[in-house]
Amino acid sequence: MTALLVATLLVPSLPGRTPDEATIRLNDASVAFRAGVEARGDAARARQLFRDAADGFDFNWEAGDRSARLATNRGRSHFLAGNVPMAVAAFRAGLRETPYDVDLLRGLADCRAAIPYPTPSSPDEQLRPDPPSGWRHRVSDWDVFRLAVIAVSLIVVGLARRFTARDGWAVPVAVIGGIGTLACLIVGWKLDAERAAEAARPALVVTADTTLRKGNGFTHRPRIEATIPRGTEVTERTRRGGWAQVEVAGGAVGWLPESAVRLVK
Amino acid sequence: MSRIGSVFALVLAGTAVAQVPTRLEQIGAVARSQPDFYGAIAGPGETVRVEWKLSASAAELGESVRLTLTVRNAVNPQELTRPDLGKRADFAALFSLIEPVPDPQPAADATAVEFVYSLRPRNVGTLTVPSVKYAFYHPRFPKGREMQARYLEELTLAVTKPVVTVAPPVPLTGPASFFAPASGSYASAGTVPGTYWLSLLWGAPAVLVCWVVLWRWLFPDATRLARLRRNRAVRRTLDRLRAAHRAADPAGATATAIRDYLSARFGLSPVAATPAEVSEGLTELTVPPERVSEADELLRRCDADRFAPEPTRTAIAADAIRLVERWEGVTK
Repeated sequence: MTALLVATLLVPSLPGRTPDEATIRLNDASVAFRAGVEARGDAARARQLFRDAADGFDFNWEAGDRSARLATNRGRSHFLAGNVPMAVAAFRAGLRETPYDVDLLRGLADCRAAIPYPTPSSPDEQLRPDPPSGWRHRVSDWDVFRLAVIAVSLIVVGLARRFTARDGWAVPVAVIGGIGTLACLIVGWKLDAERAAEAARPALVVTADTTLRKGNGFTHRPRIEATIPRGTEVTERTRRGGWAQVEVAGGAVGWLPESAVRLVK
Repeated sequence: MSRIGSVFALVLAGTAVAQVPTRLEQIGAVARSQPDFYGAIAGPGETVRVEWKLSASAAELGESVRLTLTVRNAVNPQELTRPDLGKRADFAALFSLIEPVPDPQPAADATAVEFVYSLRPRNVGTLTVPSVKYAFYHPRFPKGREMQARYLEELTLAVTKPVVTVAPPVPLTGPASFFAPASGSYASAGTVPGTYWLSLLWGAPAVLVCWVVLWRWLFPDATRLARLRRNRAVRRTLDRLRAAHRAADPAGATATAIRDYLSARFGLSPVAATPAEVSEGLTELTVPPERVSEADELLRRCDADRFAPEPTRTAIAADAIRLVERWEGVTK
């Protein structure tokens, strides 16, 4: 009786997503993806399969798996299912976790190539973002850490030999290690600064063709005459009354309805 | 008499002609309200004829066929009304859609009027379009029997399943790389934990300290040698002696290194070149006699080796290193 009571109390507290469920969904998604690839000759059927795959990959992403492989498969599935905005959001979310991943960078570039960005009438109205740049997209934290370990090891070896055997090469090796350590510190500081800057301005993806307006209401005049195509990436500045104030790639600031944007997460 | 009779007959005939109705308003209300009467009045010499036909004897489910009802010989073609087949239960059971097709207004002297219907069968199979009664007014019949009727014949319609024509599938397009699942591990790389950086920060000095302490504990002579090497003159001498075997004249290089060492360490005059001059200079500098003799012997061996037929390339240099280390207190 006591065991039954304890079990009754414990069962509701168990998480809804068990590891087994996530594994099953991931396997199903992988199978659906392969089936979609095989059925690529029939777009309608293939899209449905890719939608199923995307659902499974989304489930695992929400469950906490943030690997570059999952993000890549997620973005590809959404794109092939015809949901370009979700594909862009998936690739962006993956790049926030592993910004140096080549597949994610290439996938985002392919998605952007599929979006019909309008021709800007002025530079600040440009909607197409520049290719990802910065240190985060070139080196990873682990790369910096490995280099730091090597550099510090050189310092240790150099100083140790300097204080013991007084070898002639000891001091140069220590100096090289010191330079390497300094470089690692600089790169690490840059990575941290870029990460903080990105976190301070969350990215949004436009999910439906809409108009960028000068105010948070449909009565306000358009900030950009051209329609903002779905899949366009913008950065959020603030929110008010069901509207989000955003900044496009060129720098123009305007308002979009919250229902037409999706937060990259 | 016959003339009077002829005139009477003519009068009767004229009265009869004048009484033949040609418009609905000329027949009684009772006749007009008869069921299945759609306003047709037969002419004086002909009866009304009705017929209908389908536009096709077979149709696919979902398609519509046309049913054309033709009324002939009515004297009032413009007053004919269309039979409302949609209100008939037998038709509604067979057809899901019964739409009248509007017709142009017939001419006043038209001999035939057509009513067209668009019918859409409900089910697959052979349908029998039910017979329909069509009543009309025939003025030639005796009073009370003017309402006559004709029955439209049953029609057969074969309804088949629609042939579904599927458009050829359209291939899915996209970047070629998207049609392959990503490789690698589903394990997240993540970021470097802060403890790793702290370990590196504190671990490196710890390793350095341990290295030095352990080395000095394991190699005490080496410690003294290391301390010795802090003297620039000694360090340079030892380096030159170790490199002497690579010189073209090992013995000469050894002798030069020893003389430079004595000059730097004990103040020997640089002009002292021969062993005798070196011994004399060291003696003047109050160097212990045994060291003077050791230096003299080493320099003499160098000279002897330089002019020997087969010089030894390493032995003298090694002896010179041992001499310097012994003099500097590293070895005994």
